[in-house]
Amino acid sequence: MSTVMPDSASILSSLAAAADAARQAYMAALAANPGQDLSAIYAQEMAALNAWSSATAKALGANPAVKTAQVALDAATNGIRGDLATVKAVATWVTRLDNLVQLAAKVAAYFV
Amino acid sequence: MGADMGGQATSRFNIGCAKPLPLLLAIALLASCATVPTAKLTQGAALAKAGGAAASQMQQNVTISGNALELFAKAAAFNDGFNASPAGSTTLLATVKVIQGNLVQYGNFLQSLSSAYSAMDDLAEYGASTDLDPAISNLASDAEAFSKSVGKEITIPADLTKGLQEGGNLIVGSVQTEKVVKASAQIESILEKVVAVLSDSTVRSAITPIQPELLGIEGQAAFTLYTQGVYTYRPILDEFGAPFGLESSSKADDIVRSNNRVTAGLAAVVNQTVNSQIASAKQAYDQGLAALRALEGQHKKLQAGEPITLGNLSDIVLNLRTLAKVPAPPGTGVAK
Repeated sequence: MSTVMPDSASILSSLAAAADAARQAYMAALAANPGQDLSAIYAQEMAALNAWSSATAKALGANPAVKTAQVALDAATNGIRGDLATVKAVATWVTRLDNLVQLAAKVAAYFV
Repeated sequence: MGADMGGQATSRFNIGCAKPLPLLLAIALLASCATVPTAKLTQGAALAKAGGAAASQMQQNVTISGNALELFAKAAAFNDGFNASPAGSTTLLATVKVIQGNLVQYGNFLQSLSSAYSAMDDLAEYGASTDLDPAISNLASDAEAFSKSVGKEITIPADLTKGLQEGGNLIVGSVQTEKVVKASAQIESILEKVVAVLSDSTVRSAITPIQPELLGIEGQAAFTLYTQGVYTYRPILDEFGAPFGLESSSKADDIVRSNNRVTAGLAAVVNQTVNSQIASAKQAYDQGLAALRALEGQHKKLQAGEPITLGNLSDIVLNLRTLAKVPAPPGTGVAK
């Protein structure tokens, strides 16, 4: 059985969702820690946003392996969304977003 | 008496014959123009007016999109400054600058379209043809510039934009009708090419700030200012409570800030506002494209001598007008 190649819009949508989740995480961290330095989380948010932004300017290469990377990214995105109301520690968010950004960069790399 | 009568008759005859022949011809032509306005002229004027109104409204919607991008850039600068990350949004702002450039080109095209319709209207109404050639020429070059900016280059044949001014600046009768039909065909030909460009999904995202990833930046800036105590959520809370006669207490913001779940809920309301703006921008783009397609169809009808129908176009323009009036709902970031 061959792997179905996802379309470009579907992959861009996953990257956009990841960027949105990163922003939500920043805002959740900000709400829980209004006086703290959140520049590390902000940098990760921008990295996720740039992964999406750079992909929008390119074309998706014909590599079915992108599907596996997309599934992993979606799982990380959904995990962050599910924890928005419970995670408060800045360090926890930094770790979670570091993983998200790596997965987003991996997916974005399929755009050439 | 007979001599007198004969003299009068001779005199009247002589007076009539004294009129120069060109003047008689001009009177005859003007009379035919005044008493026999052809259906095509009337319809051409109506189509030109409707097309001008649609183009102007679309241009207004494009201006609103441009303003949204300006606001985005300011919000991104604030977020960067707040997080001591001066280059944080550099890549994104570069993307936005490209969209802004595309929007300017699209706005120029719509401005030229409006001018071309105005010139077509002058031709159909008054027989004035001097403005048409330059107007069509500008429309063609702005259509080319716009399509190039979004990476879907089109070429308008040079001969398409010539030939309307032949025969003088003020024309009448069948010549006038012929020129209105020709102007209609020229505009339609350019519209056809631009509609094909706008129908490409990549162009849609290249000229409209419809990405939530971009507009969310503004919500983030507003939320940041809220968490720092600059803004209040009370207008949103009052909006919720109003149907039940409830209003927020002076301690409302302290309570919201101390409860993560309430804060997350209200942040979601702000996001919903952002999503409404995104939906409006998408609808404005789609309605604008629908307007151009409708105009294209009416041009074809005019040229074929069929009656034009402008009801659908009027509805689209009304929709665009409504979308242009979509403001941010009350309570999304007004300091008290």
